[in-house]
This record gives sequence, structure tokens and C-alpha cells, in this order.
Amino acid sequence: MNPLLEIDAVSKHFEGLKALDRVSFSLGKGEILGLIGPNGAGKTTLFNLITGTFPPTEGTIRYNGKDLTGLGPSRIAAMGIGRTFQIVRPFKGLTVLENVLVALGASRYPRFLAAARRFRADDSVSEAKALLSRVGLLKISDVKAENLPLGMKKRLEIARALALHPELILLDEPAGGLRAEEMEELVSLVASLNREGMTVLVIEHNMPVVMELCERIVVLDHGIKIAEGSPEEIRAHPQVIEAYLGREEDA
Amino acid sequence: MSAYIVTVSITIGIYVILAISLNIITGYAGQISLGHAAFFGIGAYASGMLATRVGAPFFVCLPFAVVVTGIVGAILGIPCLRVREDFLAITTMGINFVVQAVFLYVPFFGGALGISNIPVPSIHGSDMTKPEYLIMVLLFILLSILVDGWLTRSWTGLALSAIREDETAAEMSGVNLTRFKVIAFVLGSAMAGLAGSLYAHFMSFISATDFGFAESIVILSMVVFGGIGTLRGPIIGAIVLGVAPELFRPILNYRTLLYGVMLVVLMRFQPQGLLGIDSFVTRTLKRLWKKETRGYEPAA
Ligand SMILES: Nc1ncnc2c1ncn2[C@@H]1O[C@H](COP(=O)(O)OP(=O)(O)O)[C@@H](O)[C@H]1O
Ligand SMILES: [Mg+2]
Repeated sequence: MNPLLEIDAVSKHFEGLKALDRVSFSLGKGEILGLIGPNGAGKTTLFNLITGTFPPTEGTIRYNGKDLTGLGPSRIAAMGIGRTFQIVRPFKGLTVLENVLVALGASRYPRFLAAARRFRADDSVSEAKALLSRVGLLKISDVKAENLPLGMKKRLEIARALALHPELILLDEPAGGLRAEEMEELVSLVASLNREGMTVLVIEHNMPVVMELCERIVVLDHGIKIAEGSPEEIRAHPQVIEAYLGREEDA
Repeated sequence: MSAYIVTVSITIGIYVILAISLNIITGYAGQISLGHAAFFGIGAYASGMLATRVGAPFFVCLPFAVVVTGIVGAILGIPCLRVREDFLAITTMGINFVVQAVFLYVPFFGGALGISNIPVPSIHGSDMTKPEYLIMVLLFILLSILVDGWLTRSWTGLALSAIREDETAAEMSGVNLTRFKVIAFVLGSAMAGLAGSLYAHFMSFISATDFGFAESIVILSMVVFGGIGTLRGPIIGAIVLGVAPELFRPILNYRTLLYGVMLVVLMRFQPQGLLGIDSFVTRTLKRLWKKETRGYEPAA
């Protein structure tokens, strides 16, 4: 079976810094893959490359067999790659419902006439509400996003990503900063999305969360892929242990 | 109604259209513009020159001005697309100075003499009276309000608010920044062109000095004073700041200075504008009317 996402010898250099150095791995349809590594390893940079924020210095990224190089972020989003952000970025001044509607519009925006229609039409509002109820935010759909606590902002970002009708979602530290019970809600949400067929690439620092969610894990350190394997393999991997212990000594 | 009141009302009406148009660019799409008077001027010159040089009737000149200004808005909007917010302020200001200099120094545009003898529009074969002109301006305000209302309810309007709130998140949600910023610039510029045409045929004489940076600040002050990003904001702002100098004549000479100071103070302490959503005044008014303010307490 063809992989959904292929990262093929991808490098990204910022001036002298090699944020990513010839990283390769792929992600099959319906898979859930964890991306871990110490701070500054290049994880978020990889998300930015996949979503088209900037092009790779070298290498190619293919989605459904199609080279993503040169496509802008809005095109890539509309092709069905949704993402959330390490530091949440909801549309603060818009309501929870409007936040989701923005991404639901992805199929309308490219066509001038469709973009001229009312966005609060029944079909779009009911679809947005269905997504909000999925993440447990339906009751507060008219609240401005800036007034939500962090856990809800994170779930709102997931609902917004789902509104793109994605085949693949990229979650950047979804459990970061959450309280224990919020974290559990989040893990079960992601797990249930994956059970329904959603392909997930998740960056996460919280090891129990990664171990619970992921079948396979890729480890980055200083821009280099140092390991790939099942949670058990990763836990026992000498280079991974070293990368993490080394970091703790620094701190 | 006295002729004086009619004249002042027409002027304020033109400002209302200008403020509504700038609000599309700066209020809805979040793109600061310090050069809106340039587009006001381009509309005025396009309309005035077509009328005086070609002899076209007003109802041809006006749509011509709207189209020309919209196109120029798209072209001048492009350098604004990739610059950060602080540079956008400077770029738009620069556009204003360049456009004004072109009017002033290129002989084709009449130089310092400007364009004179722009004819008054005629209906049924006779010149429009001032009250009739006022009614026409009011109809165009209504049209602008309708366009504004359509925009804010459309997917396009939603995309613009997403861009205003967070460009990165908007892109990752399928919003093409270039496309929608250009749409905002074109709509806002074209509407300013409409105001320019109404101005030219009302004044009958225009020159480059009418469309300088100070005028851009006046228009921006109206939008910010009333409440940026709302429809009522620019309308109320244009009326209040349009009437004030008429009531307190001495203000007139210091108008730009006062508005500039007001802009800075509002931006610092009340960026939503005096009557914007969630502004101090709006909240107080709501409380007085005992309307329930909808808030959400995370703990509850
Ligand atoms: N846009 C950028 N410009 C310059 N350097 C960057 C940029 N983005 C990330 N970096 C650098 O690349 C390295 C990897 O960062 P990042 O991908 O955010 O790491 P992680 O998400 O794994 O913690 C860091 O050293 C960071 O400072
Ligand atoms: Mg990161």
C-alpha cells in the first residue's frame, strides 16, 4: 500500500543551523505515529515544512503520492492536511463556532461565487456544530475563543483542523500544559479519531501519552532521525536514552 | 434646510463612505492603511478628468472612477501583501505621497492647477440641486452599507476576519492570504473611488492638496474613533468628527493635529475605538440598558 505521507531525505537549514538533516520516514493511511525528541530537535520545523510554511532546503515531501513542494499553505490545507499549534493560535476575536467555520470555508474560498455566499447557511452551521460537539465545545459555540481556558483552546484547534475534512492531522504537543483530566479527554479524543480512520502525526513530550497512543515512534535529535520503532523498542534504544539524559544534564 | 447644512451634510456623507471603505481594509482585513486618501484622490481625478476632457456624463464618470480605483487598488495592494504590519503602515503612507506627487507634478493631471470646471451632474436635462445631490449621496451611503453587509456575512468576509486575527492560522485553515488581501484592497479602494467621484462633481474643482497624508489621517481617525471592525463605527465616527469642527470653528485649523493625538491615545488605551465591540463606552451603554452581556466563566 502506498503511504499517505512520505518524508524523503528532507533537510531544512536556517542560515548555518541544520534544523533538519536528511530526515526520512513515511506514514501509512490510518496510522498514528509519534514524533519525539528534545527541545530544538526540529519537530515543529518538520510540521512547518509539511504544511508549506517554508520549502525544504533539500528533499521532498509527498502526500498521497503528490509532491507538496511549492504549494502554499492554503492549498495544502485544502488538500486535507490539518494541524494544531504548539502554542495555540485560535482566532481570538471570533466565536468558537466561527473559528470552525473559517476552516469549513476551505472548499468555498477558491471559487469567487461560492465565497460570496452567506457563511452562516444551515448546512455549514450544522456541520460546524457537529464538529464542536465531537470535541465537547458545542455548549459554548457563541463564546469568543480568547475567553476559553487552554484545554478548550486546544480542542477548538482540533475541531478547526477537522473542518478541513482532513485525511491527515498534525498535532503539535496536544497535551502540553494540560491538567491530568484534560489530558485524558484529549488522548481519548485523538484515539477515537484514529480508530475512525484518521491518520495522525503527533509531537508529544509526555511519554505515557505517546506510549499509549502510538504504534510507531520516530525520534529526532538535533535535526537527525536517531531512531524509529515501536514504543518498546524506543524505550530501550540506547541513543534515545542518551539524547534524553544528555538534555536533562544540560537543564 | 439651509444651504450650509446641506453642504456640510454632503461633505460628511462623503466621509461616511470613505470611512466605511477604509474599514473594509483596516477593520475587517486588519491591514493598516495610512494612505487611503490616495484612492479617494484617484477616484476624484478619474471622474473629474473623464468629465472635463472627454465630456462624459456623471453617470458614466462615476462607475469609471470606481473601476479605475479598484484596479489601481489591486496593483498598489500587491507590494503591501508580503510586508509586516509596521512596514505596511510606511508602504501605504508612501503610496499616498507618490500618488499626490504624480497629481501635482505630471502635467497630464493638471499640475498645481488641478482639475477645474467639473460639471454638476444633471437629471432630466437640468443641473442637480444641492438637496438632490445630498439625496444621491445618501443613496450611495445606503449602497455602501449594503455592500458592507453582504461582505461581513459572506465566506469572503469570514476569511478576512481570520486573516486579521492570525495570518498563519488562517493560511493553515485554507485561506489564501494573497487572494483575500487583494479582494479587501480592491473593494476598499473602489469604494473610496466612489467617494472621490462624488467629491469631484460636488466641489467642481479638485487639486492634489485635497488628497494628502493629513486627509488619510482624518479618515483613519473616523474609523478608529467610531470603532474599528464594526459597521456603525465608521458611520458614527465620520458624523461626529465631521460635525465637530463645524460646531467648534477654531478646531478646524488644528484638526489634523487633534485627530492624530486622538488616534495615538485611542490606539494605546482603547484600540477597539470608542464605540467598538467591548469598548468601555459600549460596555457601559449595555450595562445602562441592562442588556445581559454574554460572558463565559471557565470555572463555572
Ligand atoms: N523560522 C526559523 N528561523 C530560524 N530558526 C528556526 C526557525 N524555526 C525553528 N528554528 C530553529 O530550528 C531548531 C528546531 O526548532 P523546532 O523545530 O521548533 O524544534 P522542536 O519543535 O523540536 O522543539 C531550533 O534551534 C530553532 O531555534
Ligand atoms: Mg516544537
